[in-house]
Amino acid sequence: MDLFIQVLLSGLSVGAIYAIVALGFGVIFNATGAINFVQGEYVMVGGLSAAMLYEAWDVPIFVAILVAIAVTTVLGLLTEMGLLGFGRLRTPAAITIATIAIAVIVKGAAMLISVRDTYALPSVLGSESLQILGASTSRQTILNLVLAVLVVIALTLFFRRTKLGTTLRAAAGDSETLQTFGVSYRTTARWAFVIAAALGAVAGAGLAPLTVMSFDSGTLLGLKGFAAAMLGGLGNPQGALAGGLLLGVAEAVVAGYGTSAYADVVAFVVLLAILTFKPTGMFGTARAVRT
Amino acid sequence: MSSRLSALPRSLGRTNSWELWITIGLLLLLPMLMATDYALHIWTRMAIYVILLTGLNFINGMAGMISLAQAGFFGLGAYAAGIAAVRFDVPPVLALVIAPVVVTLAALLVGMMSMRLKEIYFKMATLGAGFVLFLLFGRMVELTGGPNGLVGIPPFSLFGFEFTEPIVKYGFVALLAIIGAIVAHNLLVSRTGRALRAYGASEPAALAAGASPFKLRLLAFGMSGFYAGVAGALEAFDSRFISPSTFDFMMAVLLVVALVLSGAGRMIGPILGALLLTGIEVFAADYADYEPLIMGVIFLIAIQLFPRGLAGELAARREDRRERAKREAAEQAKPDQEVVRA
Repeated sequence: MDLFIQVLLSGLSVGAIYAIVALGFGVIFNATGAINFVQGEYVMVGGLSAAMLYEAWDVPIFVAILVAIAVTTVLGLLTEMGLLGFGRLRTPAAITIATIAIAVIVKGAAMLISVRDTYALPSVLGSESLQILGASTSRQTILNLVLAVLVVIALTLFFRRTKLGTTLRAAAGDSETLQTFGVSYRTTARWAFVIAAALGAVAGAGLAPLTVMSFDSGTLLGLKGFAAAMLGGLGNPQGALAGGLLLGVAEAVVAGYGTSAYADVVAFVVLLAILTFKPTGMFGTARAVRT
Repeated sequence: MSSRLSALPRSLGRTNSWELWITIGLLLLLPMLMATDYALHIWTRMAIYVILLTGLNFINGMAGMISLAQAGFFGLGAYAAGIAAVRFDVPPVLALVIAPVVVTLAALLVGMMSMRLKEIYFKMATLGAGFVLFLLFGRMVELTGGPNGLVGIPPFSLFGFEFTEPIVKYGFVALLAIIGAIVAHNLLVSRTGRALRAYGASEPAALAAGASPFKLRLLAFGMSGFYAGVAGALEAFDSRFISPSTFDFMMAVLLVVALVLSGAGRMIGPILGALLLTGIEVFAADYADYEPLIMGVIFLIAIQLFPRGLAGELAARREDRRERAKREAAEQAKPDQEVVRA
């Protein structure tokens, strides 16, 4: 029983991060119809730059995290410029391919800047562990869960209650009609990338205390976040939260009761299974994903 | 496939046999330019890439879908052959047969799972499949040797004769690459191949003409898997050491980029792509740290310039020119009718 609680807690703390990554995929997908391969790199840049600032330059931890979020948000803006600034890419398929190129660039730049070193960040809540039902866990677990829930609530309110959020939802529904109302495609896309990058940075800052960060952490994290997004239904905020937590717990169960070597494989089995059997996600919103 | 496929654009049925001859010619001539041991080693790698890209061309080129699983399939072939030879003492000839069979089955499985998915989701499914394989290469330590790689793979041998001389190694790989290119060419000019390319060019039109999409997509996947299996086994016997990092996400991306830049869907694509890949490898040996950054920038520029791929862009321009010429000819031929209609 103790082991189960332990597994559950460690699963939820990482799962909350997957949920935030999944939300980033959803925001970009809703605005452009594309899958953003840079999403995982935003997490890497957020986590790595915060940890580097803290470890290598002794920047206070809160400042380091804020600077990391700012840096990643600028990277989001640059992504949008690199993708749409030349005016030729407009189809989701072409944008998706171009995001792979940008992900490779970001990873390559991070490799040069970090000189392939790994960095870690302590938790902002301190290092004492927390006792819950006989299991002990890092305080970061609670912080991550609270963070994920807050982000989902904030995003839901943003998309429902603000003008910009409504515009972004309209872009997801029918971007051409929206353009006839005078809203430019690039404006919506730019906001989507800024939001997605900020989400990635928050996820990275939440993940850095749980695991070391290096320049090549991004690809795997991005794919896991995408698996979580597909599990909950791509573009559905509540679904992303459910998908992320479920994936995190599933991984922890495999690591806790089986072997940790195969924990990383879980996300891909989930991804392939969901694409094969229920590509609209657990909550089955109607959308054509098959031909 | 229905006979109505003949109603599809003529360009789809055109046989580009000169491209096949260039492929064969380059494979025969290149080692004559430089035949040092090091150069032959490089040419051997290039010939392996020709086989790998010829396989990828069935999916990325002909069927018009982007598969990010080819690096994983390549690795599966290498590990299947390597494990058979090292762990089970299977003779290399038999391992060279086992590897393509294993990979073809795996590819058909992935093909069936992703059969009905739309473009973007298909890409993610193939990426997921490739990544699972990559992870397993590193994690199934007892079988694969884990991150440190699989060591002690014997050289390829036939009837007790070991292929260790660089020129013999190259000759064997090049022979298989040439056979592979001829088989691919013959398949592509066949009725099935035309249906496959028609499917890639315009899915609705191909469906309307009676092509069966499931069979075609599965065929493309199976073929790409078979070629990847052969290439993987050759890679294992050529390097005699394999490690997971050769088959990672970057490799999956590089394969697609190389093929798209050099002409996906054309017979000449694989050889040009293989030259590009080999060039990158030689270059990267000196500038390893800058390789991802530079590759990413080149890739991004290429996509911005040719969103439909180089071959697609050229074909589209050719089509435009032909349309315009036809329109002008029609206007000149029937001036009276124009007046009447005005």
